Amino acid sequence: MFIEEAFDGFRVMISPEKLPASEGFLLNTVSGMTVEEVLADAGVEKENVHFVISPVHYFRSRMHFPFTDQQKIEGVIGYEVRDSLPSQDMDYITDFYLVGNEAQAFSVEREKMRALLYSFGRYRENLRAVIPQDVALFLGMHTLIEEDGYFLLQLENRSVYIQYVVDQKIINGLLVAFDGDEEITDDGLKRRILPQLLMCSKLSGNRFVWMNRASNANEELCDKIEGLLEELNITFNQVGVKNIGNYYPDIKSFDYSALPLLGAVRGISLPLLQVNLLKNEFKPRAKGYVSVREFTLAGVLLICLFVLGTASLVFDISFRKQQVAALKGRIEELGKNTFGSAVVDETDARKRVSKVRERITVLEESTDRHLSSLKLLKELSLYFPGDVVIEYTDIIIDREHIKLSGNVRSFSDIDKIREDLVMSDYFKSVEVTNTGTTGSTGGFTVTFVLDITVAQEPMGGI
Amino acid sequence: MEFKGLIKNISSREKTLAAGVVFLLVVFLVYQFVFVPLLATRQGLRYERTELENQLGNIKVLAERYVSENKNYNELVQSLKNKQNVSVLTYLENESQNAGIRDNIEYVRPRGDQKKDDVRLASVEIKIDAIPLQDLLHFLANIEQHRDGLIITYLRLKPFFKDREKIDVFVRITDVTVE
Repeated sequence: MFIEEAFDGFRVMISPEKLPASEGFLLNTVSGMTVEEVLADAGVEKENVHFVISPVHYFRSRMHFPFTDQQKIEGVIGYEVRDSLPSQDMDYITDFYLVGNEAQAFSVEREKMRALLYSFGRYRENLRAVIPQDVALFLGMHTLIEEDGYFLLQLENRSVYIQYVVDQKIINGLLVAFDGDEEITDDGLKRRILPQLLMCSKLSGNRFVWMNRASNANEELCDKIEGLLEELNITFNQVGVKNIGNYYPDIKSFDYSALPLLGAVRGISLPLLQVNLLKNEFKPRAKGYVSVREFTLAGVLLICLFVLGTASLVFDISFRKQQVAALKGRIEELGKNTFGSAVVDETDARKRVSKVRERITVLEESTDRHLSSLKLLKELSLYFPGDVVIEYTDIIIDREHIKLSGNVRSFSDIDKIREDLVMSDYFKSVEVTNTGTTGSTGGFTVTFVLDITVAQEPMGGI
Repeated sequence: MEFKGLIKNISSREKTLAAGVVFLLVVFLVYQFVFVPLLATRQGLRYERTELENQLGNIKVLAERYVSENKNYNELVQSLKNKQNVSVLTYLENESQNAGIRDNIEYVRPRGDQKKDDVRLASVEIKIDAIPLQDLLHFLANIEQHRDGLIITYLRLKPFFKDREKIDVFVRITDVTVE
């Protein structure tokens, strides 16, 4: 969608389809409405809007640079252009197109741009370009004629806009407008545009002079200007369809009132000649990208989340520290109450329990009478076979061994003693370590030595 | 000066980009040097708390065991301390007197002390001559029964050469006391 700010309202050109508009454009002029209302009336939703701004809102200047690098010029033009602007204190936004090393610069006050964007209301995000009318006219002419230079008289309503272009450089641009109640007189007209026409005559030699009469152009004004041109002997061409039919098939029925809008459309495909005052903070965002404001907001939210997360973490750590301290306190208290002094950890507690256990074991072992020599002697007599006659010679009993020496009547008695003693849980083994015989009046007697190993842990318990 | 000039000349888009990069850098640094250590501290505290909870549970069980064992130990110690006012030699002398075998005792000799922590093991050796076996058993049973912590740890019996119904005997006694 393309909108031009005209004297009597807005001229709106809509492409019903994506460019190039093979089906042509819908052209309409509305008055008595704000831009927002115009867009709402047109049913705009997500369509891109290109706006052609009137020359009364911007300043045009030409500057020469010793270099032709677009980026370098972009970096310095903001400072260079100040000298040609009404006030150095004002804050401007400047854009330009480059012809050789000469920049055609257009500047608009930042506040004015802000007000313009404000007037778009909820359609602010739809706005893709703010194009100076000079550039739009130039591009429109560039579309219609082959020459790079021309002298154009754009007649619209009760105004005439004079544009002089040489080699794609806008040498001059002048808007002459008559108020609604102001009478258009020959003298008044001559006073305002004669110097321009004379200059035109001189510079162009009557070549490439074009006149574009918009459909709403005032007849009286048109007649007077044509008369004046005739008087000055200046011949001119009427702007019309020429060689662009292939690009815009419907151009034959194009209303040339919308010449700047046509230029705005043409500018999309001519990036080197594009001028867009929607720059810096007003720069249109590519769809799907976030603005600096949103980026900052996201950053602030991120910081908030980060701070909250950190605070939560610190709080959690503090809480856990308290829990750990409380647990340590309980362990210390338990240690003091139970062990008499604070235990450091489980290992320490285990050591203390083991220490008591060891003491008990020492005491129990020292006072355990199941391995008392008296007990072993009783056990020995208990399991000794009753039918064996023995004459002992020596019995030694300690906690681990018993050594029994004596005499019996036969070897079988020794076996019997051995077999019976083994029955006791107290005796782990009974070994016959020595045997022999001695003579006597009743025959020989058998001597023996038994070595009994005492079981330290009797089977079946005591 | 050059840096200032550079800053002055860069476009607002580049400034935004630089600000974004600086912001992300700051976020990264804060994350790396503040957040990560805090996370590590929290993880450490979680681990420490779990460990302490386990320790507390185990120490409670150990404490109950300690109380029970300590009670047993104290009872044992108490029973052994009751006899401390009479020395083992005096005790043996009295018991032999009561058993009527004092005259059979050839000698009573202390054989030294042994210490395990605060437990003292005092050994005494007695030689008894020509004693009937029954009297000996009666005497030995008495000395063990009437005094806690006294054990007969060595016994050597030999027939008395004049009368084989009697025996000569070496007895070693260990008396346990707690200091």
